[in-house]
Order: sequence, then C-alpha cells, then structure tokens
Amino acid sequence: MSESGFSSGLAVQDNDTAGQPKPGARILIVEDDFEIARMLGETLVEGGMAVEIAESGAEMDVLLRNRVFDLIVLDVMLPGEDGLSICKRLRLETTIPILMLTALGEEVDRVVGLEIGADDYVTKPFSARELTARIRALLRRTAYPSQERARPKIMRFNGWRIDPIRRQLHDPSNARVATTTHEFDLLLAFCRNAGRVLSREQLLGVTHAGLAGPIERSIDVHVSRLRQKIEKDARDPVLLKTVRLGGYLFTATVEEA
Amino acid sequence: MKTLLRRLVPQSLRVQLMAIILVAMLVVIVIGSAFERITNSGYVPDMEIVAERAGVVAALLRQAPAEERAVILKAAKDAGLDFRLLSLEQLAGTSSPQQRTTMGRIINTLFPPDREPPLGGRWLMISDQPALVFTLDQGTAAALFGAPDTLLTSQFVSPATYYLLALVVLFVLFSFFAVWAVTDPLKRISAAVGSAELDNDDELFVERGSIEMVGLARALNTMRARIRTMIDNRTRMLRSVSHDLRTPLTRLRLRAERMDDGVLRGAMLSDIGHIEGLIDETLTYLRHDVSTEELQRADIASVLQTVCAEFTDVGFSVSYTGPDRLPGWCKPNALARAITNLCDNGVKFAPNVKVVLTATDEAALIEVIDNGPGIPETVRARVFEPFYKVDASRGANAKRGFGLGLSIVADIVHGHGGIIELDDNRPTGLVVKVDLPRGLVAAQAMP
Repeated sequence: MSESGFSSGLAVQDNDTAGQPKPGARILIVEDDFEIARMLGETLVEGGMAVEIAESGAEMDVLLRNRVFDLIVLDVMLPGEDGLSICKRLRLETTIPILMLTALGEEVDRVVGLEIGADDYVTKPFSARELTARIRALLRRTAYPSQERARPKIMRFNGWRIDPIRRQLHDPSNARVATTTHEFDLLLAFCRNAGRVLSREQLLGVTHAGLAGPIERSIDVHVSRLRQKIEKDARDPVLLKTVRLGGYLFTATVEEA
Repeated sequence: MKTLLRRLVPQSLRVQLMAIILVAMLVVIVIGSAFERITNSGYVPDMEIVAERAGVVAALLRQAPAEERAVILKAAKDAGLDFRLLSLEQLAGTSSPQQRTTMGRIINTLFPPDREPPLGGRWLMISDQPALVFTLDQGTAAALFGAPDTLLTSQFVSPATYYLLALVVLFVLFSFFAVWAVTDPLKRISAAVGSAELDNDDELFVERGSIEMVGLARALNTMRARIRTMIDNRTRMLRSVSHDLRTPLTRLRLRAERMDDGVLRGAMLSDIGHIEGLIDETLTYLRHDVSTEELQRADIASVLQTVCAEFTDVGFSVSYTGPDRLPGWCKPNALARAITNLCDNGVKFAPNVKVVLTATDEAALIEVIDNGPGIPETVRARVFEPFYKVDASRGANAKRGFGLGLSIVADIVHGHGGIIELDDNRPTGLVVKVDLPRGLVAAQAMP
C-alpha cells in the first residue's frame, strides 16, 4: 500500500555487518494520535529500540534539546506546525534520519516530502511490521558514514536520465519510460554501483523483493525486463552484463547532474 | 472611435430593435421619395399613357379612309408616335420579341406582363425592332416603333417602389441585425457550453454584446461557478471523510496486529485491507489524476509492460503483446492506473488476461482481453457510471470495490482524448478497447 520511497538502492554493502543498526536505537515519534503513537512505540520497543513520543512540534523541540535520537518518525498532519514545515526546519540544523508518516498517499506529497529532506515515507494505514522494517532499513543505511547520506541526485548514463526522488526514468529522446518498483530500484542500485559486480543476494536486498517472498530467481526476471527497456537489443546486452557465477555488472558511465 | 461607436449604439436588444425599425422607415421614406421624383420627372416612360395614345391613334386610323391615314400618321409623328403602315403579308413570319431572346423569356417568366398591350395591339419584332402592331383592316396594319419595351416603366416602378423598398430594406437590416446581435452571441454561448470544462478557471462565457446577452452570459457564468462550488464542496467532504478514516483505520490495524488469536487477526487484517482498498479507490477517483498530471512524452509500451509485470509478479497471468517501444504523448501515471484497473477487473473474473498494443501513426490501440464470462450487452453502457456494479445482485460475493474502477478508466481515457469501447471476446470473455491519440496536438485537442 505504501510507497517505497528511495530508501532502496542507495547503496549495496559489500560487508554485511557494517550495515547493522546498533542495538537500542533511540526513536522519536512525533504523532498527535496518542493511540497510534503508543502502539507503534510498543512494537518498536519489542523490537529492541528506545522510544519517546511527542504530540506536536513544540514537544519535539523540547525533547530534542535534552536528548539525542537516532531517527525521527514524523507525522505530516500535526496540530499547529505541520510535519512538512518541521521537516524543513530540522533539515537546516541536523542530518538525523526522518521518516514521514502521512494519510496523503499522493505522488505530489511524496515528492515534496522527499525534496524537503525526509529520508523515507510511509502512508497510513501502515502495518507496524512494515514500518519497523523501514525504520531498520533507514537506520542501517544511515549507519554508513559515506557520501550515500547526501541528497539523492539525478543521474545520467548513455543519454538516459534517472531521477531518484520522482522515481522517473527518461530515455535519450527524453520520453518517460515506465518501470516497476523493482526495476527502478535495481536500476538505481546499478547506477550507484556502476562498474562493480553485484551479486543476486545484494540485488535482492535492494529491491525489497525479500519482503514479498524470497525468490532469488526473480532478480533475473527483473533484470531481463530492465534490459528490455534500456538495452537496444535485450538478447545482446551492452549496458547490463551477466557475470558468470557472480551476478550483474552495469557498464555505463554514470554521471550526476 | 470604437468607444464612441459603442456609446452611440443602444445597449438593449429592445431599443436596438426599435432603432432598426426607425432607420428602416427613414431609409424607405428618403429613397422612396427620390424614386418618386425620378418616375415623375419623365425619365421613366409611362407605359400606360403610351399605350392609351397608341390605342387612340390606331382607332382613328381604323376608322379613317385610306387617304386620310397619311394625315393622321403625320400628326401622330409630330406628337411623337412613330407609326408606319405595313401590309399583313409583311408581318407574317415575325415573332414577338420576348420569345426570341433568352433574356426576354426569362423576364417574361419572372414578370409576366400584368397589362395587355392596348386593345387590338400586339408586340412583334419587325426588322429587329420591337413594334406595337395594330391590325387596321384585312390588308394593312399600323406598327408603332420606338415604344418603350423595358421593364423600367412607370407601371412597374411607381406603385411597387414603397413595398419593394420597405421589404428589401427591412429584410437586409434585420438579417444583419439578427446575425450581429442575436445569432452570433448565441452561437458563441452554445459553443462555450459545448466545450465547457468545469474545473477550468478562465471565464467561460464572454460578457459582451447587448444588455440581454451580457445578462445571459453572466447568469451562465454564475451558474457554472455555483455548480463548481457545489461539486468542490462534495468532493472536499468525501475526500476529508476518506482521509480522516485513515487515522482510525491505522489504529485498528495496529491493534489487530497485536492480537493473539491468529485466525481472528487474519480475518480482521483482511477486512481492514478491504476498507483500505475502498478508500484508495475513492481517493483515486476524487483526486483527478487525469486533470492534474501533465501530458508528456512517454513510452506507452513501457507503461503497459510495467502494468503487466506488476500483475505477473503477484502471480496473475497477465501478458503483454505489442511493440517493445512506442513513444507518444500521454499521462503515464494515469494511463498506468487505467490499464491496472482494467487488468484488475480481468483477473477477478478470468484466468488469463492479455494486453495487446497496436499502433498507427496517429493512434495507439490498447486492448485488454480476458476469457472470463464477459459483460452482457444490456449493461455495457452503464458500467462506466460511477458506483455501478455488474454483479450488484451477488451481494455476498461482492468483496470488491465501490464500482469506481471503470469510471476512473473512462475519465482517464477521455482525458487523453481517447475512446473506450467494450466488445465480446470469442468464444467467451470481454475485450476492452482503448483508442488513444498518440500525438501532442491530437491529445490536447479534446474538448
């Protein structure tokens, strides 16, 4: 139901242990509906995290002044200052990961949310399990000290343009090419790791495909669909090469623009 | 200059009508009296007088003995009547002038002589000259040359003048007036009504013309604004209801997830999922993706491939047949939503769904074909109506949407300037045909 944001495909880690969130991550939930906040909090605590709850932007400010948090779950619709404005304000002072919660499932809001600096986006009604998974993914991602924390930028390869925020792909003639979520996530991962061989396991982690059901072979299906869209001849791939026993290699030169 | 003209022209249709009548009367009086002066001045021959005189002379000639005829002829010639005596044999073989020339025949038909030539006289052509001929006795006839033979006789001109003029002037003035003051503005208004789009902001009816037309345009504009406000209010209400439902629904879902009873939890989560689906459907319908998303250059084939892939990924048999690439102008998100809805319907009733794309230079024909039970012809026209469900009777089995799916599809297709049709699949099943214009101009030129 919810959008997958651009959390996926940011980076593929060679070393699996480096990406684990540290135990006892401190989460701040900013949500005016107390029941939701409480139940969400309980689930997260059961998952081994420490949780504080703020019901408004002002309460959040007080908590932030006195405590240190690893991640903020921020509701968009809040009494007083709304979530978007809080997010914008927070981004000026801190790089703390922000996960937006909202009832607005609309594309525009998602894009606005991500553009003003939210790191991921979950639409209400969400399941606690899904949200926990997203929080973990976000924590794992932000645990890398690298350039991956930088805002996602539009990238180009061979005349193609890929926009991670709007999740749009344009071909060299500037026509929009539609992709499935998995295809886009894969392509994004390939672009960010151009010239490196990516294993199927690594790609599986990237596409959330693991959540839907662990079908490793499905990576091959997604890759072949992707080839059909971006290769001149899908049977003789030039951009997306199969590496025997290894996985896949993206050969194009990718530049940020 | 223009403002001056505008100030001079009366603004009300009623006053304009009266002004037209006054102007027409004035024109009739002025031109009519001018005509009268010309007629009376003698430039236009008075046929009646000529005929009468000729008749008198002919009667005199008939009575007079042969030697006196010369005297009478001379006297007549002095009076301006050029009579000549001819033998009847000379007259044989001549014809009447009007019958000879085409023009004469036409004139004769259009304006049949409402006055016979004077008693005993007739028109003949003698050595290519029209002459008024009177038979005097067995052997001789008198022919009057130089008598006017034209239409433009006082007979014709003088009494008809006023009627004709009044008729022509009124007719001409009224037609111009009707076109300018009534027909054109009405045409403008009906054209505007025809192309009316409720959510478009610019003023639909131009408030221009006579007071009555301005009033009509203003009333229509107000009505449109009121309808729009009404619809907007309803939409806002429905939207906020749907939105506000999401918060309690989130609570419900979180609570259900924390329940211990696995069976009950599963059932509740499935119900919650169903409600979520309904809310999503409603919001999609209300959101007007079609009107907000911009037409852009996009690969139509990739949109269809993507939709099919998404269905395949969750285990449905939905296949794509068609070109690998098909660039065109469309609203990719809206189009994807439309095809998704169609496939959604398909997989509900049929084991296999095919999406077929065929392209011409101007258009892309998308067919979503299933081998399910199909839709009976009698209800086909209604399936695009919002909240209409074919299986409304199958209440318990209707674990489905609100019946907005196809309405959303129809909205999206029409938003592309396209056409949507339902057809039978052989041996069973339904074919939904969506015909989309591919070009930028074609897609934008829709009403």
